[in-house]
Amino acid sequence: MSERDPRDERLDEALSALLDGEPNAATEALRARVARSPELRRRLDELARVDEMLRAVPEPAVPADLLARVRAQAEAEESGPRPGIGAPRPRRRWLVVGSALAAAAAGAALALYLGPGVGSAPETVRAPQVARVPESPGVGPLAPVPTTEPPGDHLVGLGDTSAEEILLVMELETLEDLEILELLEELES
Amino acid sequence: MEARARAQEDDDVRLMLAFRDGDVSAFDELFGRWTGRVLHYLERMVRDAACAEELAQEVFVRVHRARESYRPEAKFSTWLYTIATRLALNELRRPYRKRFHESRDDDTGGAAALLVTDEPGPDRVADARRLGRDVEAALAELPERQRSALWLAAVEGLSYAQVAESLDTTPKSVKALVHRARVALARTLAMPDGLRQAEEGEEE
Repeated sequence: MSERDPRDERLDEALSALLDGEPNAATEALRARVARSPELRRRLDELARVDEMLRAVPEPAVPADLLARVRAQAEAEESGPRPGIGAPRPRRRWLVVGSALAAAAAGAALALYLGPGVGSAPETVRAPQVARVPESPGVGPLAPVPTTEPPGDHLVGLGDTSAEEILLVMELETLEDLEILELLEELES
Repeated sequence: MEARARAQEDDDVRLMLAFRDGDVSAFDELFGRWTGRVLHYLERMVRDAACAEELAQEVFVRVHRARESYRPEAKFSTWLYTIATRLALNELRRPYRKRFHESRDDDTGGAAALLVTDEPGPDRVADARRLGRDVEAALAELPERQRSALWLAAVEGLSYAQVAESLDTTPKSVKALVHRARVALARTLAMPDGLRQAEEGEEE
């Protein structure tokens, strides 16, 4: 297959913007050209058909109790003593990840203890990136999504667990402890 | 200010302001107007109905929570999809979610299967379902930001400026994202007389 002419790419991009109703200085000229060119018309139709197919994907049914769940969660948060303490919240799924990481960290710590060659040097423990705990959708403000890649799949596993990651696990475990404390508080009240 | 004037015209903004002023039914109306679409978008983004539902719940909890501080500085839809997009992208970037998606991708068997919808046949309903699955699978193969940009522009009808706000980027980048996504989908779905023929300069 031959490489596409970059000009054709730009033209395609302009056709795509035309489909989205995004006007620009060349919109009218492009429309006129499409009207004259069967080739451009065909490309425009091909791109438009993608949109038709996307719009044909059936919309999921909204659960009948979703509004009630939203209200209950919102009201519980608003009437709670203070955010995060005692207020009912959905179980944070990162705790599950935390458990997996804890297992990974235990293995890695053992490997570090038994001999060199596994994990990172101790001094990397104090690296500032340690605080990069993935944000839970259920907590925290609406922060911009980081553009850098978050910790990847290598976090879960014994072979390449670094000292940084072990510290991350420790942080997660601390948070898990807080969850337990909150639960105890609720039971006592 | 032009953006502010536009926002004031937005009926959803009116509802949100009513909710801010204590009209609880305004929130219900907003929820009714938008939940299906938001859930649809989230399901396409995270490819997991239960997770999409959970995220949709969180989107509207945030809307509920924000009523007192709400200021009509943008279209309501831009604000709503910004919340949904950020939650979805955060969800997709969780390590265990990435693993889940990879395994799901393996299960789809690829999206290259072509469905020719204009072919006559007695099972058009089944064909439509299969089309939906093919499109969903093809969509899922796109990078997440392309997937988001294409869906918001092509299906939800957001302007590039609105999509740019949701994705924290520029309209120019959105234009490129949307276009790349469209071309990739057209290729993946192997449409009749598709773009590959155009690339090769073949005549019909």
